[in-house]
Amino acid sequence: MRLIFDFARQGESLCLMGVAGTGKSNITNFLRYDPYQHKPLYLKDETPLIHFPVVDGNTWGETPRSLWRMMLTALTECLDGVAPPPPDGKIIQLSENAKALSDLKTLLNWVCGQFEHRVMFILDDFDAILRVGPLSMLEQLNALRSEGKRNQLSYLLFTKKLPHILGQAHFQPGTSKFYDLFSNHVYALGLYNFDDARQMLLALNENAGRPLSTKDLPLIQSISGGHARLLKIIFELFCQGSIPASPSIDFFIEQPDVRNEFQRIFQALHPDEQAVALRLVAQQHTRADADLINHLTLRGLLIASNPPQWFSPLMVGFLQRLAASTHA
Amino acid sequence: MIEDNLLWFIGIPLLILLFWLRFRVEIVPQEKRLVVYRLGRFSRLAGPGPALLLHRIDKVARTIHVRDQPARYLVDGLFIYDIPFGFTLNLWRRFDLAAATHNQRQALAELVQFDDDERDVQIQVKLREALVRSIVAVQQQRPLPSTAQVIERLLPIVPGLADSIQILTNARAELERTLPSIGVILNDAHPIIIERLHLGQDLIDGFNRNRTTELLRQRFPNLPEDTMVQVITSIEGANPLSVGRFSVEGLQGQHGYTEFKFDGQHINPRITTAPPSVAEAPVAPAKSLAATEPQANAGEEKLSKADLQVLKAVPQRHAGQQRSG
Repeated sequence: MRLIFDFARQGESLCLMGVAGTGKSNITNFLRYDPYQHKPLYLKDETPLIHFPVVDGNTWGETPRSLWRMMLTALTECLDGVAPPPPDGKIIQLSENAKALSDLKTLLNWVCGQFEHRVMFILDDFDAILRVGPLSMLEQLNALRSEGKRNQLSYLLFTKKLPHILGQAHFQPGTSKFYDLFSNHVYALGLYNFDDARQMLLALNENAGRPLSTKDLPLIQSISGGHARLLKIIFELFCQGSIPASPSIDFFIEQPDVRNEFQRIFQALHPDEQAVALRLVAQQHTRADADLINHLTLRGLLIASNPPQWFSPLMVGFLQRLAASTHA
Repeated sequence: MIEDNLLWFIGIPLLILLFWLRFRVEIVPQEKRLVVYRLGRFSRLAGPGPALLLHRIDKVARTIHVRDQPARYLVDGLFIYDIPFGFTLNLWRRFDLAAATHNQRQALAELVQFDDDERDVQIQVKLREALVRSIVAVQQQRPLPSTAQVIERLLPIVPGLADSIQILTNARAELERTLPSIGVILNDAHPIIIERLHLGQDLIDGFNRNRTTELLRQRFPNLPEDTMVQVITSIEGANPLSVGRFSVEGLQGQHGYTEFKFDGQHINPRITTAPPSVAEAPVAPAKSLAATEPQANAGEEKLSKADLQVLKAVPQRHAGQQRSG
């Protein structure tokens, strides 16, 4: 959160890349609603002057107009206490796209120009938007920032894959001003560390109708390995009371929710990452895989690279089954 | 005595002036030019190579990227037979102010006042002018009755068809004439391409795809199947694609052929080891591919070492907040 707040304060953009289910949505909710009052801690007096509108890439309608509308709605929603800009009856736009963009520009100019507030758009699950484009729409995000708001408008992208790989059809590093906004600030969003995972489990347990015994919690934590959604899924399995006395790895992997979650994680990896993951569990990795193994470690999927150790024993079991079915 | 006074009154101030005006050398890469202002007036375009600048009085006002490269431009707010639409166009161009002005100093001094972003906006304006003229010309050549259906009105702008090619050809001829006035040179070797046709959502919603296909077949009976697919999919929003992943198992190093069948509702892709046969029935997309099998590249390039280096760990000063694996 401190990293994000520092960037927002400086008007700089960044991209956080995390595997599916690592808790990206938790961060967006914290930024948008701040339930634990982190913002005053880091932003101090600037808290009411920096806004974090959240744009959910999953609801994008695959048109520039849809993106401008989503951004406009998100910004409007988080501007509590800021008077709306006066209507300008003279502007007549010919197309819906131009009108949507114009409305967004007007509101941004009003917020950043008139009130001198800062805005950091949280572009959540932006993979599809980077992949589909078009470039003119993505470059417009930079142009919005250039119009006198260079230090006041920034973006935080959440993706599951490297942004320049997602947008390879449109831009290459150095040729896109939008990509250049964050090209040097693409950070790996790892899994929860031990304390954070423990805290999340305790919070889940406190809010559960029938809290679990405290001796179950370390087991849940060890097999979930700090993966936020997996923690929640396995916690709920325990809450349902359907766990045998000595559950095996296979037992968990056969649970539909768990299996689906691992499929989501695996499918969101780049094909090269998938291939090296399968080679790792089959013990067929070579020196040539070293860079990708380090990459998976940086992403938090491996907690040690030599010898490779996966974040969860369930991930190993899932990959072994997958490797076996692929060979079969 | 007089010589001593000369030294003090002329020599020392001269030395101070020379120190104040000392030179610096800027190395300008091949693909860039520096716009140098001297005492607030345009002096010259410097580069490529070493550029000698006077420390206090020369100022690099901006850098111009002169390399030849493709660029996309969205031109909205166009009309064809009273229907609003937009194009995303792709064209190759370079910002070559010297060539555009034939090194005429006055013209150069005016063009250097704009940076690359502003010049891109100017290109959009010129594109709009050229397209509007070109579209009007096509409309005048082929007047339509007032009862003409929407799709008939749209046909001249559907990418890949004769009328749209004519529109682009006319527009290109005008751009070749007008773009140099803003310091831009079009590359003759590359055509202007329509990447996307943008239509209003209400139009898209009411778009009858079967009717479109039927009409296209009537007007262009010899249009190949894959061209038909390309035409339909190039209309933004009218996207009949529901293509799953392709299965490329079993190719084993042989050449693969892609084939598309369009039944008016769905595009059915197929990859075979034999050249496509017109008579063969289309196959369904390869939905049976196991959901979690490694994707055979799935259109993504291999990850290079440079790609992987893009991803960084959260900086150390924020490590207290980092969520480590």
